[in-house]
Parts: sequence; C-alpha cells; structure tokens
Amino acid sequence: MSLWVDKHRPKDLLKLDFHKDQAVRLKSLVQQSDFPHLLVYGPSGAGKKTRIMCLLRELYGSGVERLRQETMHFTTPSNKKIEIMTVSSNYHIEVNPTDVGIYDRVVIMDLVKNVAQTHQIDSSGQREFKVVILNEVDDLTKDAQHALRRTMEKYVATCRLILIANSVSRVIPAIRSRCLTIRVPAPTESEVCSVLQTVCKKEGLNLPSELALKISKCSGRNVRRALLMCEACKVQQYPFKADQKVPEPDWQLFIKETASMILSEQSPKKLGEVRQKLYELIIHGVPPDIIFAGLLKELVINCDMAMKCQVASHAAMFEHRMRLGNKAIFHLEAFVAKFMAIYKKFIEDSVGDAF
Amino acid sequence: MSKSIRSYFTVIKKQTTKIAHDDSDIIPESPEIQVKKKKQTKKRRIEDSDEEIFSPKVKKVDIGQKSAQKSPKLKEVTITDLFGSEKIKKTESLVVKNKSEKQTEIGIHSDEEFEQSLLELDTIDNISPEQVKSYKKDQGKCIVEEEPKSNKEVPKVKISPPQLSSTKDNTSKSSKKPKKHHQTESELKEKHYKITNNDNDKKNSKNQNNNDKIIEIEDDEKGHKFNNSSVEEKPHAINKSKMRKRDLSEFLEDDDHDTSFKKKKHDDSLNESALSDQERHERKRLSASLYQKYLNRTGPKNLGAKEIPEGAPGCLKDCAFLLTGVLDSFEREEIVEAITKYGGSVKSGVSKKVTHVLAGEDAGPAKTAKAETLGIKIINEDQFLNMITELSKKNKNKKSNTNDKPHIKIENSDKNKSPNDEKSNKNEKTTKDKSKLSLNDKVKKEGSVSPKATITLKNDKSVSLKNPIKKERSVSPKAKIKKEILDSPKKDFYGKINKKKSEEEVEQIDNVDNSSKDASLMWVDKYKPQSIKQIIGQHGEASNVKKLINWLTKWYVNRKAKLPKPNPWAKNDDGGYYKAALLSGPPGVGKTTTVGLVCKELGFDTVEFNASDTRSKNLIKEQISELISTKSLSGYAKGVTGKQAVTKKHVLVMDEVDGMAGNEDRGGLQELISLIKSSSVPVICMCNDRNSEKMRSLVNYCYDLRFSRPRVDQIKAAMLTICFKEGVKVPGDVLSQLISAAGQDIRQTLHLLSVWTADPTLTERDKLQKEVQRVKKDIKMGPWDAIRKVFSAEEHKTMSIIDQSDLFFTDYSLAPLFVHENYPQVVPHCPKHEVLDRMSKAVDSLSLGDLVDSRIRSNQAWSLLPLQAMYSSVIPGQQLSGHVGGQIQFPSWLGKNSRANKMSRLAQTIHAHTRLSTSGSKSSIFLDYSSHLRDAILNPLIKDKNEGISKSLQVLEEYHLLRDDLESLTELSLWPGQRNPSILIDAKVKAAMTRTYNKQASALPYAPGTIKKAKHLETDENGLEMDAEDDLENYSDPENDLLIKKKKMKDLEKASSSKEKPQSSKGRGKKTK
Repeated sequence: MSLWVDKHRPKDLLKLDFHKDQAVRLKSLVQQSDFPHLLVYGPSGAGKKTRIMCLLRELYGSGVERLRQETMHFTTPSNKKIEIMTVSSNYHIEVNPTDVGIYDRVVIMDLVKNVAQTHQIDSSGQREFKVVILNEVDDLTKDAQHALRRTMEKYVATCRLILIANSVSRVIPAIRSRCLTIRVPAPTESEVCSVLQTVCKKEGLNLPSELALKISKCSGRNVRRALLMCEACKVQQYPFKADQKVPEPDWQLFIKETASMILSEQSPKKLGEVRQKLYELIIHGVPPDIIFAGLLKELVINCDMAMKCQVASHAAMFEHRMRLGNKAIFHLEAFVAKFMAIYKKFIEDSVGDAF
Repeated sequence: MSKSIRSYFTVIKKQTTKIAHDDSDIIPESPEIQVKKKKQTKKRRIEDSDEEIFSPKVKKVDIGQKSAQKSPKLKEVTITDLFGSEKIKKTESLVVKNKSEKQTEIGIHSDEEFEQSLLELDTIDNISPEQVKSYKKDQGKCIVEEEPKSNKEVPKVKISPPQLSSTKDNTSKSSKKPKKHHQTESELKEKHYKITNNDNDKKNSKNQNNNDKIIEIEDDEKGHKFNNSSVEEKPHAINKSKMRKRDLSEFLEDDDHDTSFKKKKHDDSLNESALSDQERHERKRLSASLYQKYLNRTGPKNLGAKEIPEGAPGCLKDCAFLLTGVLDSFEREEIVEAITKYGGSVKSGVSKKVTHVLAGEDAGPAKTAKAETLGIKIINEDQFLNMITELSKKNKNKKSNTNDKPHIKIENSDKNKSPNDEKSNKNEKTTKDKSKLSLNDKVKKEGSVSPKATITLKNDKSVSLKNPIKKERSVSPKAKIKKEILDSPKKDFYGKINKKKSEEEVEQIDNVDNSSKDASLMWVDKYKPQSIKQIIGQHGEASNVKKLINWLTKWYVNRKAKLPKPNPWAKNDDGGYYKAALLSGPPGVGKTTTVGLVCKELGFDTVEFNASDTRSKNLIKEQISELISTKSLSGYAKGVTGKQAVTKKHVLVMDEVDGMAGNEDRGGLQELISLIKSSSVPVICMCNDRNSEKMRSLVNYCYDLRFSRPRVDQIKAAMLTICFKEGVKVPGDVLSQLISAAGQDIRQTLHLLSVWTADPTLTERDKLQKEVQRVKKDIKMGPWDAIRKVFSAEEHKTMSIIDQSDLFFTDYSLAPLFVHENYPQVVPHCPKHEVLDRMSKAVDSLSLGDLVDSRIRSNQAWSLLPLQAMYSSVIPGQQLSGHVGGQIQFPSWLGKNSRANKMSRLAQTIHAHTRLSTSGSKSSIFLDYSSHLRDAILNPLIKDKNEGISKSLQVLEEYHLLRDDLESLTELSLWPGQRNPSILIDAKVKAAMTRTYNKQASALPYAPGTIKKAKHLETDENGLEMDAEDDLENYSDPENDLLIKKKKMKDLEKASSSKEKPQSSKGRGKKTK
C-alpha cells in the first residue's frame, strides 16, 4: 500500500491535473516521433518527473513502466571504483549523477557514451533513440556539465537527453542552448486543492475545501508535500474537519523555532545556541538555501520595509557566498549574526525613540 | 771519606745493581749497560763535533773509571746500546709498570723536564749552526711524542733518598765525574733523557752546596730544581771544577729521582748503597701519603668570597710566585690567571727565582720548608691581594729591572750570592711547586722560568724574548746549557727561539686537547643524570621511575603469576599483567634517560632499537626475536660461574615506536605486538603521543607510563645548579621564562642555555629577556594556545600583523574552524552596544574566509593561504579583540559534518531503494517522505498491534524497503526534542513483524547484496570494524535468538511448504540462519 502521492500518480499526459496545455504541447511534440534534448525545470513537487514519465510512455508505450534497477560501476582516472544506481527500462535509463559527488563527470562521460554509442539493432517498431534522464542537473559540477555538452551534440542521433533541474540558473548556458527548455511551474493553490480533491475522491474520502486550501497553503504549492500532508491529516483525524490542524513538516517547525530564537534575544550567547539549531538542520539534510529562505521569511515578519530590504539583501549575499563556499554553517551564522546586529540596533533605536 | 768511598766502590757496583732491582724490580740490566756503552760511543761523536772544552778530560775520566769498574759489562751490553730510541721506550714502559702507583706530582714535572733536556741535548750534539733550525722542528715533534712517556717515568724520582747523606762522599770522587756526565748526556741523544737530568742535577747541586740539609728535606722537589737551576750553573761547570763536585753530590740525589741505571753509570751509585732500605721506604711512604693528601684535597672553601683587585698591568712583572696548598677563596687557576695577567710568573718549584710563596691550606711542607731556607717570602691569599694593589703603584720602577738580568747571569756564573740570584731561586721553586698541578698548569708555570734563562744567554736579545715566553717550558734553560757548552751564542739563540716556538705549539695543542674534552661535550651530555635520583621530576613514590623499577623487578615473578588483565581504569595498577611498558610523553622530559638508568640500576642489559634502525616486520621477527631469546653470557666475563652466569636479564628497548612508519618499517608495529606477546624478556617502548593512531593497537599490550612535563621550578633548580657549575649568571625569572618558553623541555632548555653562554653579548638582563621572547616564537603552539592569542587583546599589543597571521598557520586547516567555534565566547573589549556589530563583522569575515578556502581547495591555489589567514583569523581576531570568556572548544563542525554525511548516506540508500515508486530527489526524501513513510509503517503497528503488521509490511514492500531501512527512516526523521515513535511499538509486535517480514520473500528490484556491501563499508567507516556482520544479524532485534528458535520450529512444521523461502534474498537468508 503506497502513499497516496505515489499511488495516484498520473501516468498519461492527458490525465495530468494541471498545466494541461503544456501537456498537450508535449504530446504533440512526441507525436512527431522525435524530439530534441529537453531541459525540464521547476520547483520540486511541481510534477516534472511525472510529466516526463508520461512523456516516455507516450513515446514508447507501457514498456517504459517496467523498470529495473541496476548498479553500474565506473573507474575514475584516479583508479577509484565508484558505483551508481540506475533505473532503466528497455527504452530509457535514468541516473542521478550527483550521487557520486565530485565524480559525476565520470558517470556522465561513461554512461552517456555507453548508452549513446549502442545503436538499436532492430529499429523497426521502435524509436531510433534511447532516452537518458539525468536528475538534478543543476547540482552537477561544472566539469560534468562541460562534459555533457559535447556528448549532447555528438550522440544526438542515438540518444536523447532529458535533464531535470530545479533551476536553470546553475546550468551552464551552453547546455541550456542545446536543449528545449520546459518550465514546469508550481501549481497554483487552487490547482493543488483540486488535486487533493480528486485524490480524496479516489480514496473515497470527503475533503472539506477549507482544509484543502489550508493544506495547499501549508505545502507551499508543492503537490507532493500537499498530498503527504493530506494523508497525514487523514491518519491524524478522520473524518476531516475544516479547522483541522495541518501537521507541518518537522524541519519547517524547526526553522521557525530557530527564527523565533533569533528574534527573542540578540546576544553572542544566543548566537551560539542558534548555531546548534542550524547544525541540526544541516544534519537532517535540509538544504541550506531552504534554511536561508525559511529563516528570512520568518525573520522579516516583524521588520519594517527598510529593514526588510536590508535583511533580504544580506540573506541573498550570504546565500550566494554559501554556494561558492564549502561550509554552509559559516554563512548561515554570518547571516544570523548580521541580522542580530541590525535587529538589535533597530530595537534600541525604536526604544530610544519611544522615550 | 775517600777511603770509604774506595772501599765502597767495588762493592757498590754490585750493590747498585741490587738497589736498582729493589727500587724498580722490573728494570732489566740491559738499560744500565746501555747507558755506559752509549757514553762511550757517543763520546767519540762529541769529540768530532765542536763541543765542550773539557770533554777530553771527561772522557778520560769516564773511561778510566768505567774501564776500571764496569768494563766487563760494557761489552756485553753493546748491542742494546745501539738501538737508542726504541730501547728507551721499553725501559720507560717497564718503569711505568713498576712505579705507576708511586707517581708524585713532582715526578710528573720532572719527566717533562727530562724530555726537554733530552731534546736540548740532541740538538747540542748535532748542532752545526746551519742545522739548528731544522733540528728545532724535529725536537718539537720529539717533545710531543715523548711527553706521555715522560709522565710515566715520573715515579722514579723518589727512588733513592739515602743518597743525600752520601753526597759528600760522592763529591770526593771529584770533578771528573760531573764532566763525564755532561759528555755522556750530550752524547746520548733522544734516548737518554735521564742522563740529561743528571747533568742538570749536578749543576744544581752547586747552587745548593750550602744547603745540604735542604736537599735532604726536599728530595721530591729537587729533580725540578736541578733542572731549572742547571741553566744557571752550567757556566760554572765550565769554569770551575769545584762546582762540579757539588754537582756530583746533587747528582746523586738526582739519581734517586731518576732511573737507577744512571746511578750505576756514575760512581754515585756508591752513595745509594750507603742508604738503608728502610730509609727509602720511609721516604716513599711519606711522599705517598703526601700524594694521597693531594689527591683528596678539597676545593677552596669560600670560593668567590673575594675578588682579585684591579692592578696596573705589569705590576707583578718581576714577581715569581709559587702556589702551594689550597687557597681559601680562589681556584688555583684564577690566581694563576691573575698573576700572569699582571705580568708575574708562576713557578712550579721552589728555587731562588721565586719571589713569593703563596701558601694556602695544606701547603706542601717540603715547599714551605725550602722556601724558608731560601728566605723566600711566604704570603697568604690576602697578602697577595694587597700586594697587587701596592705593586701596581710601584710598577713603573720595576720595568727598569730588565737591565739587571744580564747581571744575574754573570752573578750566577760567579756563584749566585746577589739578591737577584735569590730571586731566581725562588722562581725555580715556584716552578717546582707547580709541577704538582696537572700537566697544563705545569706547562705554563715552567714556561715562566725560561725568560730568565734566555737572559743569561744573551743580554742583547733577552729583553725581547723575556716577556713573550711565559709559556715556554723548562726546556729553554737546557737549551742554554748546550749553547754555553758550544760557546757559540748565535746557535744557541736560534736554537732557543725555535725551541720556544715548537714548545709553544705543543703547549697550545695540549691546551686544546684538554679544554676540548670538556668543551666538546654538549651540556645535555655533560650533565646527563648519572643516577636515578638525578632525573628531574621523578622523585615521588608514584613517579614513573619508581613504577618502572617496580615493574621491571617483578617482571619475571609476574610472568609466573599469570595475573588477570587489569581494568583499564584501575588506578594503582603495577602493570604486572603486561609484558611491555609504554613510556609516553613529550620530548625532552627524560624517557630514554629513565630507561637507561633504570636498566643499569637493575642490572638489565638493554637491546635498543630506535628510529634510526629499520624496524620492519621481517627485521623485528628475525633479528630482535632472536636477540631476545638468547641468553647473556656476560656473567662469564665477570667471572661468575654456574647458573648465575647465564642470565636472561636483558630488556628490549624500542625507542620512538611512533616513528615506526613508512615503507621501511611496514608491519613493524604488528610484529612488535606479537613479539611482546611471545617475549620472554621485558620490552620497553617509548613514544611521544600515546593517543596517536599508530599507537592505538600497541597501547593495549603495554603498561602505561605517562611522563608529563616537569614543573618549571623543578627544572629551574637543576638548571641553576648547572649554571653555577658553568659559571653562568642567568636571572632566576628569566630562567623560568626560558623554561616555560621551551615548553618544559629539559633538553631544549639546556641547549638554549648553552647557546646563551656561548654568546658573550648576552649578559644583560634585558637582552636575555628579549632572547626568551625570540625563543618563544620557535616553540610549537597547539591550536588551543593559538586561538587564545587570536582573540587576546593583550597579545595584540605586541604582535605584528604577520605574527597574528602566523597564529593561523599553526594549523591552517583547523584554525578557521577553531576561530568559528570559539568566537561567540569572546568578550571583546568594547562598548556593549558594539559587541553584536563586531561579532557580525567577524563572522562576515569568516564567511569570506570560507570562500577563499573553497577556492584554495578546488583550485589548489595554496598561494591564497595568507589571504585566508587574514579573513579567517586576523580580522575576526581584531574585531573581537578582548579575551576568551570560556574554555576553548574543539570545533564541533567536524563531528556535525560527519553526522550530516552519515545522514545523507542513509537518505541516499533509501532514495535508491524507493526509486521505482517515488519520483522525488534525495532531498525530497529528507524533507517530505521520511517522516511520512515512517509513520505509514509504524502507525499501524502502534495502533493495531499485530493486526497492523501486514499493513506496515505492505508499505515496506511497496517501496522496496528493507527491514533495516526502517531504522534509517526513523533516524532521518527524528528531530531533537522528539520522541522516537518506534519506542511506542510493543516489543512483541516488533518481533512478530520482523518474523513475518523474514518469512515473506518479496522480490527486490535491486540486488540486496550490493547494498549490504555498502553497509559494510559504512560501518567500517564508523570504526565498528568487522563486527558488522554480527551486527547485521542482531541489528535491531534483541529477541533475535528467540526468533530464530521459533523460526526453526516453524521451519520444521512447514518444512515442505516453505521451500521457496530460503531462496529469498541473501540478506534475509542470513537473518533466518
């Protein structure tokens, strides 16, 4: 018994719940029996992967759904053996090169070449190309991205690449220009609500629209999260009530907690405590940029406009540094310290004004 | 008298031989014979050369006497005579053996003089004016060679006291004898220095004719005297036959000192016969007791209590001192130095040249007595000091005295009644006295005699020669002698000069040799502890030394006792269980010293291997284990017999075991451990860092002895002692600073101290203090110390920016982390409202530093390190300049980072497992799935208990999760402050669930084997080692055993139906086993 989110995943392009016009376009694209490299990007929980699987199904038929997992082995130039898990059907192979960290370049070069270089012996009734799906392309190292770009041109006859990314900002322009970029935006709240409603209907449940809206707001327009939350709500209390409390993800709660700590007191001692919280977040795999975003969102609530700008620009600066640097905690802490300094000054000033 | 002499004469021959035997049993007859023969052969030579006027007479006399008395023997001996030099050596060695015990100081001195006289004689014999120079060089060499010999000969000097009484008898034999001697001596070249001595003695005797009594009293010293005085007296010999008679009498005395063969040659031997054996014994005893006294005498009682006053240079110019006894507040060397500094000379024996006798405690009775008879002033220390001050005033007058010296010569030749003569005598005395000093001293003092000698020879040039020649030895007087004999002043002069040079060279060499012995030793070696008590900081009952001794002594007993392994936390463990001891501690605290001394104390032989030896597996296995299994036979060498002779008492000392690294020593530690296990002898290992990775395995097999740094005051006490011994003055507080700057490293402290003393400019306190500061810089600093300095406002005052960035370089990989970890604790010295601002600036800089760091690492741009130093250490330090408010913490980033990595690994595994059914990326596992999946699995179990099992298992199967993944899921989703929901599950339910899970054989889309492999790797990384497999089996379920049993039961029941189950994946298969 899967979770709802996986159980009710649409498998046909036309059955997608939102961005239907885009789905239609994709369908027509595929119907020409060929398509260029694709770069699909959008926030998580917007349905990129689902869309792609639907596309493949459209392309190759239901054979694509017969998946298998394989472990592939590569040897790096420095003679280190690495292995990576791939998911593949007869027609496509999906890999997550970032799993091997800095050796992603080796994976890209070897795997893509391997797949691309093998021609279909009997191309009748089948497509002439295979599809390689690369996940999290924006997290690829620059080396790997550069390795990708020549391969993309060279083997265009035998394979198509579908790149999935959250944001194109970190994909080098050379790759962007070689791909048809498809943006999958996050669904609107109402779209999320409708998704929730349909799923609940399928499950035979009655979901009050207020609760659906609440959940969709809470999920940050992330369908996956919305569905999971909805299911959690169901576990928590059924039948649903409109004013039912929606269980937020723990890490969100944690970030909020941290933010309130920062607001409660600005002192070096508090900074030390905040650091522990930040460490905890990082340990639990919350991406630092999400921490930044979460903190900023919570912190600026009490600020006036001028300060909001100031804080936001600092947050942006430190997030940028974080991406360039190695140790996220340094930059998170720098941001927190900065905010504390600004905020304390602000408070003192306003208190002074009051008198 | 003459009658008696005659009567003796025949008898004497026999007796003399006997006497010789008595005195020195080993002396063979041949030497005597040699002498005689040589005389004859060489006489001829002399005749050829342009030597003495009287030589023909002498010959005749000699021949006459000898032919009468000794002719038969002569013939027999001839062969030996011919081999001059070699034979001499032999005789010397013989002599040495005989009389080594009886050596007196005087004897020693006389030896040197002998040599010199020998040399002179040689030159005299051969001298043709042109050759002189070349000769001198040779002689210089000769001197060098012969000096050691001469020392050994010393003992003979005392041989025949009785002669004194007989002196008069001898004189009756008339002037001819002395002449003989001269000739013979001159004839005998290098070999017969003894003879030369005789000559000198004779001459001296003239001077002392009047003082027969004195002679008796001071047998010991006469040898020296004679040598010195001979210079003056030679002229007499030439001119006056009377003098020779006297010479004879003294000559006899000299014979006592000299080897017995001389006596035989001369008629003097008769005299000896007159002496009774008893007398001789008594004299010997007397001198022996004196010598004993000398050996045992103490140093100055109040060393350093007085200071030598400043005197005008040259104020003691005409004074010749004889030092005797132990002074109250000066070392002898100090006084000698002072005297020479002020132009005075120091003599080694009492003679007329000596002007003052400086007597201390235990002054030599002989010297003082003689000084009294000669009318020499005997002064004490204080008088001496006064003298310096007084004389420095009168100094100018004395310079004119140089003119008197020519007179001295003349007077001497006329027979020394002038006041000058007395002086000269005194000088000689001093020289004699000094002979008691060690060789070095002697050299100097004797040298002082020479100036006068030169004067006697040549008025013209003497002035120039006088002053510089302080160091010249007594040889020069002899040189004079030959010259006079030759009557060719020029030759003499040249000869002298050259000799002086050569002698000076020799002297210098001597000095260098002696001083180098001490100086070449490093202080560390010089003051190395010689006994256990001297080890610094190891005195307590619980000290490591005591423990080690205890452990070593009980080692063999403990081996039989088979003690249990002690609790690692037990406090008072005596290490009985262990076969090896591991001494650990910082360098320079005395680990190796301790082991060396302890082993020595307990009589263990040590077999030591240190880092300079290759200690690979093979070498240890083959060599060391062989060594250890052998038995020491050293007992046999010591004369022990029986079982005790063969001892296994040796210790294997493995020094610097933490240095066993690299390819050379591969496997060495493992082998060492196995060797310890099988060892039949104690093993002592030493290392610096006991906690290092390398030592981890070894530590378990070793008795742990940790050496900590001694306290500053402990070291300081020892250092002060050494400073005192070395005469270095270092202020106490500076010394403490130095010690702490050196990190309480005794060795380093010593090195630094000795370097300081070598630098004469380092006398002022300020400079020393600066030096300490400088030294401090070189000391290795840990990151803990460094970080304190980074934030310390105090330190910032004295530090340049470079110094501050150097703090970063104590460990550039750790320093930024340390700074980051500890900056919130810093209390910056600034207004309160600025604190946060400064702090944010500091972190801002840290974050920039992180950028640089990442650039450095990714691009290998190590040249950016200084930049990083600025960002990561200097700027935060400056911003938060103040003091650290709490304890310095180790950066938690490292631990957190590894935890984060572990989490991400877990997430990745789950991601890989759920890949087929989920669409998200890894972070979606973290953010969304983990908690929901966990709840989906656990909630049914919590709510529905056993009924929920199937439901939760369904979820597992749907997502292709393994049972283990459930644990990872809970770990991933558990936040601090939350309760682990899996605790809520009833243990029975859990067990049942595991059971059912194991029974089911769900097909996995992936090969669980590979995953398992990955798990192994993970666990390995976590340091759990090989137990991973067991862990896997017992992983989550404490009731595994139960389960297995039940499983088996069920298996039995369902034997037929469950055939497929064993085919399920290996992972589960394992669990079912």
